[in-house]
Amino acid sequence: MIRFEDVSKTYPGQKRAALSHVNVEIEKGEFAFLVGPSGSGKSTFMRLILREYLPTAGRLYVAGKDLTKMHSWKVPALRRRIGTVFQDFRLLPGKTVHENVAFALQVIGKPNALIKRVVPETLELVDLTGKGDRLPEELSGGEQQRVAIARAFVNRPQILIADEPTGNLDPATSVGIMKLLDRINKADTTVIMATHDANIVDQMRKRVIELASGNVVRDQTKGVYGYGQSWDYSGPGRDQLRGR
Amino acid sequence: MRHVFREAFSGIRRNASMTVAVVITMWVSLALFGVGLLAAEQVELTKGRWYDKIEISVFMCVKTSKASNCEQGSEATQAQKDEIRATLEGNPEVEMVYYETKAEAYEDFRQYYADSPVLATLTEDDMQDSFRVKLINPEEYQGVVSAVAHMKGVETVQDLHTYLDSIFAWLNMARWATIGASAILLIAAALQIGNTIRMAAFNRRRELGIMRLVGASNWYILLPFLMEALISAILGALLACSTLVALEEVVIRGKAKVEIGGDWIDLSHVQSASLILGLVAVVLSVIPTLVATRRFLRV
Repeated sequence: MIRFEDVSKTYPGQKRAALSHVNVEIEKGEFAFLVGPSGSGKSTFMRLILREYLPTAGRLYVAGKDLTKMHSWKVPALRRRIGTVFQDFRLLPGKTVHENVAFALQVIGKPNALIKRVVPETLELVDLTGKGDRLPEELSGGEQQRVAIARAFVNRPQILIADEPTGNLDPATSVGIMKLLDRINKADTTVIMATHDANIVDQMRKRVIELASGNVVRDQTKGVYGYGQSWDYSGPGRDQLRGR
Repeated sequence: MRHVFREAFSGIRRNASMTVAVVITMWVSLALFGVGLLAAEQVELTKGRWYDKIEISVFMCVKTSKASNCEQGSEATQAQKDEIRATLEGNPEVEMVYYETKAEAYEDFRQYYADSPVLATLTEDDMQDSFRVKLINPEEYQGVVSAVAHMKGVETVQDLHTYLDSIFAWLNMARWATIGASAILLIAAALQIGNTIRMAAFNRRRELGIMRLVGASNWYILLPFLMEALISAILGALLACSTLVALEEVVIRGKAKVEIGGDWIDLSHVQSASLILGLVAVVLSVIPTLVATRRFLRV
């Protein structure tokens, strides 16, 4: 589903590589955690999959396509097969829950009849039935993240990328989100989740890919967060490399 | 398509004051540009009208001539005249040569100034023999003039270009000043459109970010902005074209044609100028929009 072949990425004007010589393959239907300190290359890893950037070297295959050879006008088609969830939800504040989810289908030209059918289904899947008319500001953080997941999943993507989806949530709410992501994964969606949350990683016992300074330093099936060591993930500079 | 118009109009509504500013700037600058274009047409028309009538007159020496090509105290000889005629007729730019005698010139003069007291003071001998030369292309007069100007027996060569050219030079300058001023205004209009669209895109950056993320095509994202820019530009162009039509109606047809007469530009000229204005409006709205939205569309 996703294959990094000796992928390196150096941002313009920077000496140090954000990713260097990464070789990773993630199969269809797999669930993989991406862990590592801030600046270790997690965001770059995910942005390369979304083809927000091109690798500086190496090859990157996503859903059977070589991204390094992909024309930029084909990128939208690629992104329709990838759902994305962020720590800060990124919902449109002026739109209701239903409209936020429907938006993702409208802008790729899906017919209204389909939207009317699929959006309530997806809201049900994320346990937001009956909240379609609420505005994001009227929802709790966990509920907002569910809306974001619904929006990412409403087009039934093959891949779901989640960048610290529980980063802004309390532990109890996080568990709910993880259950939801697990459910989506069970529906044969490849899920890649970057996280700093040791508890979640340790509990889920899924594949763990650990990055440090742009290198893959660990790749374990049924791994844990970091052999008991804990990153100072609430410290300053945590979001520096995220860039937004 | 419905989405494109809905988004474009909501963009215009949100940015109403900017849109009004764009429309007005477009209007004024395009109208000025159109006036420049029409002025150019008018210059060409007037030129054609005058140049068609222009003949070069080669005046022969008379007894009192003091020019260096003339022998003091004697008229141009028949041999000299023959040679001049041969030179003129041999020139490829010359369409027709016609010899006007003193007597004919005097006759013309008498008819033209029949009621004037000047007539009484002049006799046939005050007139000059001359060659009247009609050119194939009235603009190419210099070669012919220089070919005969220094020949023996030629007192002077007269052509109206000398006078007309300076008038046309002034008109040309006025035309370029108009087009230049309008060009500056058009640049301002284009920048204004760019800024308006940039602002509109910036205000919607969250939405645009999500659109890109979920795989909306660039056209889907871009078209509403293009439409928004096009609508205001075309509105400005329409106003400018109506201004030109009104000017033609009031100034040319209502005044100039009546009071001065002659050939003036008509609606067909206004039409072709309007076409150019429309094209300029489209280009000046599309290009700034593409530039302004580039940042938001980069994949």
